[in-house]
Amino acid sequence: MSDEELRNIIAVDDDFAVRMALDFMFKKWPEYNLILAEDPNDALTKLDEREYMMMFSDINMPVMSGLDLLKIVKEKKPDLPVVMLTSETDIQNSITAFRYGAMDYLLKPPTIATVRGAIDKAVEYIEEQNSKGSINMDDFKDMVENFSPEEMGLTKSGSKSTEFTKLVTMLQEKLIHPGKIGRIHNLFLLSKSGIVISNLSAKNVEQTDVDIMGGMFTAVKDFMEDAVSASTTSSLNDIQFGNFHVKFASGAFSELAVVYTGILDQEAEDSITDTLIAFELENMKILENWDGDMAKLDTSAKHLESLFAAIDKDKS
Amino acid sequence: MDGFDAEEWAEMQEMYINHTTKELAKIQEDIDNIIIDSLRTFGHNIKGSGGMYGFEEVTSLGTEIEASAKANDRGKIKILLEELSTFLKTKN
Repeated sequence: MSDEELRNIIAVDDDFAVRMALDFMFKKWPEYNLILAEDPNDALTKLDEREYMMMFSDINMPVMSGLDLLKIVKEKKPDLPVVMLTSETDIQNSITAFRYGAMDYLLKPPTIATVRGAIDKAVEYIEEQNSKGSINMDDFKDMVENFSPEEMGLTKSGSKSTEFTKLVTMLQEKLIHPGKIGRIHNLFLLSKSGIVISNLSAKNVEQTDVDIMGGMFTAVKDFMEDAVSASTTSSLNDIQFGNFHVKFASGAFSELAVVYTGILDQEAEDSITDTLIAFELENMKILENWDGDMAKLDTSAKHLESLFAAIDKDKS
Repeated sequence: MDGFDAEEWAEMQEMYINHTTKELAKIQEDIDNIIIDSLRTFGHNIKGSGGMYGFEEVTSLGTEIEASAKANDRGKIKILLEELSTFLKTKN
């Protein structure tokens, strides 16, 4: 995002008086360019016209609510910080807004101090997101290659060490899309030896990262099978890393790792198992003597795409 | 509002009074036909915005208009709109 684009902030409110007050406030901050929208449809049009650094939105609007707008915006622009405005002290709206990915929630009337505070918070969030893109890959590779659950203090479920916490943080930055809460973030189809046959991500993961992840998942899974399965009712192995989970389905020749936040229901688990079975049945002869040639397993992407479509649903 | 100087604040209040006066006039012209949910929205909006511009009386009337609209009490709303009109005239 360029410096020019960083300055655009969109504010959506059907009440002219609120838009006017915001307009007055932003005259004090010439470094930001306020774009006003009078309803959600107007906002969606304007969101398509340029890049924005953040959005303010009223909740209580006719035709389409601010919560519905938030949901649509988060699908299209998951990284966009959104701050909701409302005169309601309705806790349910707050919960729903946060579930849909709102960064914050301001009670009306918004003041110069609260609006400015929200902008500063969004700037911090954006800077944090940008800094995540500059992870030192050499450090990351070292950490993954030297992954040792025992040395990291992972001798029982839920235990942590500083090194493990750091690894979790780095994995989270690589694998978890911050705007996708309660959703599927990545799918990895792996050979038993840890080669990534295919992967599908809600967030772009560089090819080099994918290779590292393959080794990482295999190491985690091998260890987990011995010691720390966190699942009690699932037929699939599930391990929690910080705020996210990796669920594994094991086949005769391959593994399917699903990285997600929130909860996966039984239907989703069944879909994961079915996908792995379908992939292995289709490629049985190839997998029996697979030489690492990816071209021979070119239908794997299709299986992951179908699975992603089936299970990446809002579980609210 | 904190953060604005006296000149800015006076300009904001004047614009708010003018805007609300126009909105009110449109509503009063068609008060018997306008759908009750539009009246509720009007009450809800001025409830939220009145305080932003230092007019607690507007916020108070907005609260009553919104409640009356929820109760489908058009007669009460007419009275409250008249009170709002009188208040706005004192500020013009």
